[in-house]
Amino acid sequence: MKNRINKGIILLLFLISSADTKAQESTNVFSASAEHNTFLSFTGLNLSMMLVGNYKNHSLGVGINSSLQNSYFPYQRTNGIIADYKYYFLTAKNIKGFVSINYNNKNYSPLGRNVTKENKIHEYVYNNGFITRLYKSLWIGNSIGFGGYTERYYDVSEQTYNIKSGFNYRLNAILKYDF
Amino acid sequence: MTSKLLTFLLLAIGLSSCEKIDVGRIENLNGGIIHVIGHGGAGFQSAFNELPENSMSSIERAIEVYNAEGVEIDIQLTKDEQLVAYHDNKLETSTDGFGYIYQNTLAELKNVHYNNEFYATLFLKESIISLEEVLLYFSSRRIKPQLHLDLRTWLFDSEKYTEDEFLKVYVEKIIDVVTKYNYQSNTYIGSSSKKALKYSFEIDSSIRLMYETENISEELNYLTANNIHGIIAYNDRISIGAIQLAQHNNIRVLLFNVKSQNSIVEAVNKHPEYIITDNIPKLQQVLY
Repeated sequence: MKNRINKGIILLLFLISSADTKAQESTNVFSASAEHNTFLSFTGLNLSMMLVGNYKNHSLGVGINSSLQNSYFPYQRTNGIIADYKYYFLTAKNIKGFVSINYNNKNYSPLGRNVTKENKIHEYVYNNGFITRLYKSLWIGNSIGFGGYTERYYDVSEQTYNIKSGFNYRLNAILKYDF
Repeated sequence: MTSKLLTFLLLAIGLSSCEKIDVGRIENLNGGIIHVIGHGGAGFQSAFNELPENSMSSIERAIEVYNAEGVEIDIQLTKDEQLVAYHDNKLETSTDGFGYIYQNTLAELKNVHYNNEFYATLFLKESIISLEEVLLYFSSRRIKPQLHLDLRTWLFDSEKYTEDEFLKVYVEKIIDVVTKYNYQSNTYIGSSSKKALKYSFEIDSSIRLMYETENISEELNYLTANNIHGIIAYNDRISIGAIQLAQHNNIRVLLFNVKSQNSIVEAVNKHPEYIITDNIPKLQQVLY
């Protein structure tokens, strides 16, 4: 019952905030940005840097991400790619609200005795957040998201690759610069 | 002044995280190998470790993904004399259930779910598992993981049993299940109860016994005279000298309460045979 209420509240918040708020300002020109994300997810603490193309209320960013976590998760100092699509449902002069779909992956070499094969983990998360103008072309913001992960790992004992999937979350801090 | 202080702090942090151990110089009764054992599976649940301790997902993660050499789980007896893995005294501290394990049947406990952490509450449907489920999983694997059982000898229905009666039933049930899966050679029974270890030895002398103590010199006679395989000790309460005394008398040492970088380095430098840790990848980083 408690789980259902929690899930219901989160779904309600998403639906409310995802509703198409009247845009106060929109732009038709293509522009480019650089976006730096620091996020906490199933794979721990990560950093990413993306080049972003913006068109009207849409933006698409592609870049690299790296895991910083050196405890609990065997993913430290691993790199992968990140892609992020955003739709800005609110575009005021100094604040923008968005929903986004984010994908990232990482390859890592697990630890342990006699481990040689590489593992891979994919994370895909639906996010909701905002950014606010800090100074001229510099924006800061945050987002929260829920989604899933899929991990392809090598089971040393059984000598097989297994796939595990599960729910995922993403707490993200954003720093964005418009060129 | 501020920048100098900042530089000093950064250097201190950097140097503290760079401490290396010459693992080639580890000397213990395992030929220099320290076995990595996950505490409650992949470690106790925390903000950075979402899987509940003693749950199947945590145990699978420790063995399959982290490549731990074994796990330590806490074993309790249910109302219908089945064995389940659960740590706390009462159900309400970590689950949506109520009361003690011994007040519930196994069927009732299968409907109890872990809920003491955000991720587990929202996303996981992990229920309490039986020892038999763990053994079924372990015995099916090609490389058999070590199974360290922590006995909760004080958690029983005192209206139903005396302490002695309970310990006999409890230990007998454990050995029955372990024997059913022919897992004696990979099972370690750990307890601070000498009676429980005695009953275990009387039923099946092939199962390794681990006695919980840090007072090696005081307990040496007991340890050597009662076929005790090793001792279980808090990492921060036992000295290197005490560990060497145990090893000199062919008693293995298992250290626990090992989680942070500092405690991991401290534990490895004591050259035990086993370390139970809440942070398997961190310990592996130090060892491999």
